[in-house]
Amino acid sequence: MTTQPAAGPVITKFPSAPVPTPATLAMRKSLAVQFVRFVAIDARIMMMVLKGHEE
Amino acid sequence: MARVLILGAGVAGHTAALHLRLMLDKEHTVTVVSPNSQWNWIPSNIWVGVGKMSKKDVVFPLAPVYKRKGIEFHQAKAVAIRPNGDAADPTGAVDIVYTDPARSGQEARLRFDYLINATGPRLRFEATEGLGPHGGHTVSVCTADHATAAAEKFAQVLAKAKAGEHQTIVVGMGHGTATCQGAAFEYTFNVEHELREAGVRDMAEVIYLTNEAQLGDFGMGGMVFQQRGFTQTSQLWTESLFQERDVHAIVGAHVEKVEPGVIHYETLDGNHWTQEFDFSMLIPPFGGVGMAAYDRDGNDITGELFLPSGFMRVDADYTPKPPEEWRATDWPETYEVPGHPNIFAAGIAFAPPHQVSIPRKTPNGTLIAPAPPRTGMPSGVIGKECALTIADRIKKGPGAPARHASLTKLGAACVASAGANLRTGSAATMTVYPVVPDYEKYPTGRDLHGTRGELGLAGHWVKLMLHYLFIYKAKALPGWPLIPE
Repeated sequence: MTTQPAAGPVITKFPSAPVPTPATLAMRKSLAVQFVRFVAIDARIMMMVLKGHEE
Repeated sequence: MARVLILGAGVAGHTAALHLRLMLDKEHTVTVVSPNSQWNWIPSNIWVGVGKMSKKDVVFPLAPVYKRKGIEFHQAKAVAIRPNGDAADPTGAVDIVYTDPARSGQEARLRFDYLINATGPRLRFEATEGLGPHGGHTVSVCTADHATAAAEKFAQVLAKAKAGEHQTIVVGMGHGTATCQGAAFEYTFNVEHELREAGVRDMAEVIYLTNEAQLGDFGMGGMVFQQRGFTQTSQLWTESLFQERDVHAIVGAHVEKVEPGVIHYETLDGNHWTQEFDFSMLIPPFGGVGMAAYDRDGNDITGELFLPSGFMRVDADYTPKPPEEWRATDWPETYEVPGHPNIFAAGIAFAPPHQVSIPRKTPNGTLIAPAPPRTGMPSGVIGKECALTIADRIKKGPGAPARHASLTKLGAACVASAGANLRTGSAATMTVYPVVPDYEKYPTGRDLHGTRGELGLAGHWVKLMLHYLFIYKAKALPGWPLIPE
């Protein structure tokens, strides 16, 4: 279970959910790393596009 | 000479119109009917709704584009389809009522040889008492005007927070059967980002209220990702982001009523609750636009062409069946209307055979069932494939086979903004293949190689790039066909 009651009976927080480490957060903002990810995401989207147009 | 008529100028209709005009000789006519004078890149309404963009950044007038491309344009609302014509003429026809200020209220009947219904959704704010910006108590980002109004109210929230007044912000779904969870997710995290950027994050509680039974469902039944040697669910992935940003959630909720500052809702366990708010953006449920249909004698045949929801019947299997009997083959492939091989429905206008997420009922009998998404990339692809089918049938004859674009074989990319800033912004980028899971083909419903999710600044750059690319394409500027749907 990753949920537990918080302020109200139905408002849920997720204290057991994995949270990113400082290194992961830094990577998510690093211009160099993110430029590589930008290229990788674009390539993956193009794959989706090509598959989407397969007949 | 063939007359192609397209109802709607959103992603599906506009894409179909541009491709048809490109593929067909000038002897054939392509006509678009849309009640709106402007095209709107709806994904960026999220940024308009927090004041990061203005309306003029996400819309442009349609008429000049259509004039330049040789597409006839009627700013009008389609009210009835006559698939077999009328007593005077057996050619199919559509009745329209002009919304163009110069001819407002005037009626006309347009004939067609081929028809694409891409009318998009009707925003059913009336489904929940007190919902929406038109006399209700919540804001919306479904249109550019709604988003502009939302931004003005959000600016007041920021000002109050800066003045030391604690704010409660509720963003999510305004009904148990609403869809577009992705948009609500984006708006939640853009609001949260703006609060942080303004230095007042500690002055606001941000709550995501959703009809999803668990986070990460997105109306698509959730996803399984493969990442760094492990499989993980979109639920865990999404909960991680909520925990990181300290955003709270109310899941499995059907909003029953909104009063000034108070949301009344029921949860899957059948209990009824209230949630106070200072600012709330809730997405309404969608319906078809409510067109009627008539045969040649004027008899009402609306039920033959449309489901009660107002969405159009196509080549799907609409036999009611429990979720354990759902199959990929239930979903449409050609988007042809049964019995009418010259009529198609694309984008939100086609009736899905059933949900993708498991529908649930509360002990009180209230249905809480996120509707399946069919916007964005799939809409564009379906619009184009319908256009290709029509072009084939005009050029090769009416027996030319239809092109296929099943959501059980189409992939889609969903870039959900989580903050708009070139250096500090971020987005959750998800690719899903296929959009509708096929459990007979893939153990997890989807191809693990094509279904991925990641968070980071790159996602924001991708979303920004898509904003400029798709507006460029929609304006049909030089090279537009090179930009894929």
